[in-house]
Amino acid sequence: MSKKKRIGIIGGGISGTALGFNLSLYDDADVTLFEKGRIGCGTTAKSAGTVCLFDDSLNNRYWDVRLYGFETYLKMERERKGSAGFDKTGTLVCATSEKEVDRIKAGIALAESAGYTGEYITDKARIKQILPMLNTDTILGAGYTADDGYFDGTMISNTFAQKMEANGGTILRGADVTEIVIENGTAKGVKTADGDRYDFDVVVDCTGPWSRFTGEMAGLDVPIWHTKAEAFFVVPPEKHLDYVFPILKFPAFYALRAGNNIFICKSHLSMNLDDPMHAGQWDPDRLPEREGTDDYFIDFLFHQFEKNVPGLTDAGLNSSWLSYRAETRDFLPIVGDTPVKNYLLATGYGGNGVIEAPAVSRDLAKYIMRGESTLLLEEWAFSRLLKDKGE
Amino acid sequence: MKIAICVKYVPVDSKVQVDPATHALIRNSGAGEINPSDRYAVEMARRLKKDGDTLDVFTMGPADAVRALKVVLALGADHAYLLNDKAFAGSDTLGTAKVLAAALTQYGPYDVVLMGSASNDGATGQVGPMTAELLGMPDVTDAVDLQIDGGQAAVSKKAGDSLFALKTALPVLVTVPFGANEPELPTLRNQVAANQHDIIDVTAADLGIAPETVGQAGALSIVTDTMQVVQKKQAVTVTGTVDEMANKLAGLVEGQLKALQQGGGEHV
Amino acid sequence: MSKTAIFIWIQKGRAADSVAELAAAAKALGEPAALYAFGADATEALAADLAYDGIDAVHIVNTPGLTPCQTDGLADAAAQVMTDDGLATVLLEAEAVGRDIMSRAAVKVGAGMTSDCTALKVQDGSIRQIKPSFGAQVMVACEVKGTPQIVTIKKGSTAPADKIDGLPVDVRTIEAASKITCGDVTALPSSDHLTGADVVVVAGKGAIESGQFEAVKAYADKIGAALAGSRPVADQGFIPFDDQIGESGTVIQPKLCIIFGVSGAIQFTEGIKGGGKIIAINNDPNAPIRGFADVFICADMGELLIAMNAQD
Repeated sequence: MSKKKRIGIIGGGISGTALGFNLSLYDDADVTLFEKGRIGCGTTAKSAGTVCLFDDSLNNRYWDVRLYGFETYLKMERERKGSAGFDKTGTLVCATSEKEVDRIKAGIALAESAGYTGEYITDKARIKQILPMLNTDTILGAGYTADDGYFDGTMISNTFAQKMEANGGTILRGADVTEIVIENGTAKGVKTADGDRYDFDVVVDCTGPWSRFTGEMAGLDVPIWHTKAEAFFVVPPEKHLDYVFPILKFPAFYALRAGNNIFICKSHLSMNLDDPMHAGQWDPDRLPEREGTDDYFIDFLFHQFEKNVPGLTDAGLNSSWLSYRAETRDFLPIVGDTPVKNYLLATGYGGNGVIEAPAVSRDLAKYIMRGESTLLLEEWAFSRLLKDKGE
Repeated sequence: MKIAICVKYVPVDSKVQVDPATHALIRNSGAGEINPSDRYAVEMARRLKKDGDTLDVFTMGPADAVRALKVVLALGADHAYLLNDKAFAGSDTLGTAKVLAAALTQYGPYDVVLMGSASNDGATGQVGPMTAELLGMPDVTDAVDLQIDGGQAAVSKKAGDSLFALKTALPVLVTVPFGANEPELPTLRNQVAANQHDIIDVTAADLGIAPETVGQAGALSIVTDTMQVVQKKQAVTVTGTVDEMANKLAGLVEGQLKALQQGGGEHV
Repeated sequence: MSKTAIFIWIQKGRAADSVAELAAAAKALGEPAALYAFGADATEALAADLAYDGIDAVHIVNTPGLTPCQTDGLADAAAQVMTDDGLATVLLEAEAVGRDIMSRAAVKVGAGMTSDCTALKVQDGSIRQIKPSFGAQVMVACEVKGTPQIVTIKKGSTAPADKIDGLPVDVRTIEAASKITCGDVTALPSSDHLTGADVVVVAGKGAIESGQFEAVKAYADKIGAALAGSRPVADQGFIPFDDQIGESGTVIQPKLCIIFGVSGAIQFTEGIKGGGKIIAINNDPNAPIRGFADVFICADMGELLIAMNAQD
């Protein structure tokens, strides 16, 4: 009787639960996930869930990753409605330069290639029909797909968690990992705040913005920064819109409906990791659930809306929050082996966790269980960051 | 008519810890917000204000309490006062009331003074009545409606499951409970403009307050120790057969409903 | 005459049911207290009902024409009694009427006043008061400097004292004026918005998945509660988005909240604040709402609701 491989996952957000689920599909895997709070209620809870069909948040080089995420969640929804929190609002991506027009058209081609609908609209009247409060004078045109929408990272995490447990995986809730047991440079297990010790063959850090702290426990310097993701919930002046507000994308911000309200967030494009207004290395435990946005964000929103969505300049400010995106220098995740043997990372998703986790977890689970790598794992390996360091 | 509203800037986060050595409170983050009940008081003030009336907003707090003032400016306040002085720190409810009353006297006289019924952090509900006493005006707490006509105030006060119709001549101090109305939200446009508005900084010296009568120095009610309770809250579990659980639940609910009728019921 | 006192206000139709607990609290402080009963309806005939172990005298303070809403006049009366009788410590129940009156009285007599204590004890000659703070994550010990001191005690904190008889009674009348006039008292209409409701029943995903939404709604109607829901319930059109509880929806501060079939993700729990009593029903013993609620019932919602809706 061959022994099962024991894997310990630290962190029960989108990363940990997706990985936990994928590992639980192998009958020779014995998976345990440690979450110190509630499943999917940390960084994941503040994600917008925009796994959009065309979007520039993740380079189209990785289109397959995006598509795999999108379809994983659609299938989740087909299996059980609401289990991925899908709101099919359609997406409207606005072009303000020729370069953007080209990019959007390529995105449409990719979406159509995968069997979805999409079109690039120059007829301003049609665009205004889709979103009446838009100022179409400032845009060249817009890409639109009705097949798109946004998901709910917390719902998805909980669905992955349920499936993982149904497959025999173990989830320890309220379990705070305080020590990673390293012997002779090899990870052997973890200890929790309750003083319990768990032995593992492989330990995976899925803690996102906490990865620096988790890494310290393993004697590893994990090179992630936190970029600020400010978000606001606003109430449109009409209070109740009589049309479906689509996901709206502009280079600097995106907006989507949340019930009767509209959720607006800054894009993570052009984030300068060395600019203290954008990024730093902070403590995610000290983030408040609400408020905490910088004053400049209101001015920023106002100017964006005045120009592009004048209908929202008189929207009521309901609430706001600040979240941290775990970013690496090249804005791509860190997945797989580290210099510490049997200690792996699945972190640094930089606000794209909901998009990227399914494909990464599928590949990482196979790597852990079979030792087989993939192109994705090779591109997103930790070793690339080690090469960059010291230069 | 001159209307004044007093607001409090309270910490956002629900997670607090106690330093085991110093017994001092460790706030997880510095983020704050306008006290939730105050939004309903602000709305009542906003609805009261007619052409020719002025609305002034006051807050006693540290420098970042100015954010609470800005919300009220965005909703139509004319003047905003930040009562900020090292001497005010550590005030008990009486000390806070003294500072507010001094400011309201200095920049008044006001016909109506409004505040939230209680703050989310301290939640004593004492500051309103204490301030009214110091100002020599009557107070009505938990007012869900206020109409002014010819120098007379008609107040609807919520107590238990009853509504009391009260009348008094101006001036009056009124406190407003959470959920009393549907507050208008500041718009993006108005908030951007309000963020540029002048804030009037007021110190103890400006108010002629002797520092030893307020703040930590003047406090009569003091905190001597702080202790962490449980790290993880676990609910009391009701067990038994379905009928037994239904009975226990019904009993619990009935008890709570009765207490509420009588004006009690759980609150922080 | 003892220097510790208990103050109560006689309110029409409400028994002075806090006296037994306050008497026990006074007794625990080590000296007998004098009970003072204020109000337009405070008469000698009530005195016998107010005698509990821990009290050594009953004082009826009749305040003609003053109802509990006329706090300015009642505060005058309270302050006068404190001064006339040289009271050092006044205990009262932590509830709205007494709190409003004694806040004003505290200013008049220069007394420190604490609030909502759950425990009292004498330590080094002063009264150490314990009270919860920040939603009971932290217990704070308070003291009042100097005298007089005013202490408010939460109902349910002390085991009630036994009834006794044969206490001396005295009656006085204090004529105090109020600038407030009282008119009609009517039943509070049910609030037209969720934030104004003291009692809220919430239906979650579990309720709609098990087809129990109507039963939950019926239960809400039965107890006169407002009905709200979590996001999936609004998404699927069972309730309007205005009635969705959560960070991105409506934040409520109910005094009592009964939650059916909500797992308890943070986006939902952030919508309920204010320290009210929370009762959660869920058939999953691992539901995170268990860490958020005060009372948890792990049961099949359908069976429970049938049993509850059947009760009269």
